[in-house]
Amino acid sequence: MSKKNHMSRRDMMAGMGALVASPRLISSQDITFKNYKIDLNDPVQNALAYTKLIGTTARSMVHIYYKGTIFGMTPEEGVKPMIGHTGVLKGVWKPWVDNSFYYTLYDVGYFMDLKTGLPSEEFTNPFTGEINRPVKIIGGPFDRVIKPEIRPFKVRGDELWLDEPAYLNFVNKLDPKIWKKASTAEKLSFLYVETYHGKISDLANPDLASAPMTITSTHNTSWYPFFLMGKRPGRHYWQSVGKKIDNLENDVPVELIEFIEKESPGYFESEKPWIKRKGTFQAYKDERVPIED
Amino acid sequence: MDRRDLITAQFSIDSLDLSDPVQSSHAYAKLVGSAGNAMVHYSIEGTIFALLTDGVKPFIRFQALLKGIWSRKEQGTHQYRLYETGFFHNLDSNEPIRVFDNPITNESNVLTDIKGGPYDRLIGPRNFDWVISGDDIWIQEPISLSGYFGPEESENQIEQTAFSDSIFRGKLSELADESTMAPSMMTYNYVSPWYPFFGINDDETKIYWQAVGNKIQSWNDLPQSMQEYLVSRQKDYFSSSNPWTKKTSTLSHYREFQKRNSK
Repeated sequence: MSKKNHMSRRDMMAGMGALVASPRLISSQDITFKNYKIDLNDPVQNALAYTKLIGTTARSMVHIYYKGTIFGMTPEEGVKPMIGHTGVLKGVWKPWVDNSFYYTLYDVGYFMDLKTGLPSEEFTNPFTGEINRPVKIIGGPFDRVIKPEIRPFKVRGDELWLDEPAYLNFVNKLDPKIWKKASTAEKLSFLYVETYHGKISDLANPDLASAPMTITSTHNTSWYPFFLMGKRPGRHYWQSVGKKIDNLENDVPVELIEFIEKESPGYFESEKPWIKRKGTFQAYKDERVPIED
Repeated sequence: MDRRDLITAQFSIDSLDLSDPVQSSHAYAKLVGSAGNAMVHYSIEGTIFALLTDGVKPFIRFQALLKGIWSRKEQGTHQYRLYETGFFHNLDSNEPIRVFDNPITNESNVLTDIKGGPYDRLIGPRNFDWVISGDDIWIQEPISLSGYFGPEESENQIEQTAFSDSIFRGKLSELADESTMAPSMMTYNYVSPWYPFFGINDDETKIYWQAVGNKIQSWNDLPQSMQEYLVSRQKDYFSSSNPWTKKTSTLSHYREFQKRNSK
């Protein structure tokens, strides 16, 4: 058996596989931290720290488990939990040119019954009282380059975290004139805030290509289509927590592993689980038909 | 685990059973504050985002120091009294500000300090909705709120809704050891109507407060800007277990400030 084939599923999860698979790709950049010191005011070291925290500096894959709740907020009825969501993000990482790193992100999971934690085929919308049928969570491939720049890490002792807000305004794939209940407006507005947390000693450790990381994620978004909220005033608040997976069996509930392996066979092992870009709004458009009021 | 062990805080990870309401509330107190009698501080810093009809804008930043006075009661119950103090600052600086150049209205706003508490809470034995993954553990506390967010109390108050969601993260192994306090990281999220000092009276749009911080061990763990703020504005806050007695909130504090200034 070749050395590469000794890579265990556990190694693959945490992005450690590349240490045996392609060590030259790491050393060729010559930007590992020396003597366990780290200067986050240096753009190159900052990008390296960021990459180690959310992914890996090696040519490898990193998986992130998440679980959370989607709330709805309306002026009349206040805030109510609507449904859960859980999944595994896959980042396929590689060192890139000019001290940069490149990764491709995928996402598979399910909208979750809040009581059982199992996939929800349908649920009662607490605002409308109607039965809603969620689509599956699927996203990617999304490509991104991590360039040398100063990111505002917060450091307290050995603890380190980074808030990363993203503001998205985009044209709704679902025309509200046609998708009267599934589409809330012609343009959608999303705020994502991801907070990545780790240890500075791990980021400064030259023996680690990928550092342990936990994540807190919140999204303030327009109504998602399968909730069939129409033009009702209000919005969603999504929250989830999660972590970079070190050991698949220990870190991820078995029902989620089984769901992913059934829905997307080879997802955990493949560097390219699918080619054509997918997303929840597009999936809704592809799978469903407009519903009249 | 024997409940007697719990009372004396003598147990190990192998015996921590979070499905047991007494052990679950003990673990909660240990993560969020202290399972013993102690004063616990969280230093948090974050951003307020404006959730506008045409998109989202980062608006202003803030820092706060939360103080919890924890005590262990009988029957597996814990109690704490919470205070908060802090300040607003511009997006590109950590200096506390009193006058804010509002980028949405292009007007100057006179702000107040962040001030809240005392808020009392009793935590009895119950099953908490923990999220566990390997040795990592989280507890999430979504709270729906309603009230009047206008500049002054009036008879024509229209109730508005707000939503806070605090998330605490720690290590399962640290909750199961014999100490009464565990390290914790907090993410604070709060969606609210516009606070009156921002001068935007618009029910259609909201603000989202997002902050992150951790349970701190000592004064030296505080950011320099917070140390300077406390020295100049709240000298005894850090050491006091009773920094003020009259219940207040940032909103009430602002209204009182306005009332004093209008006299």
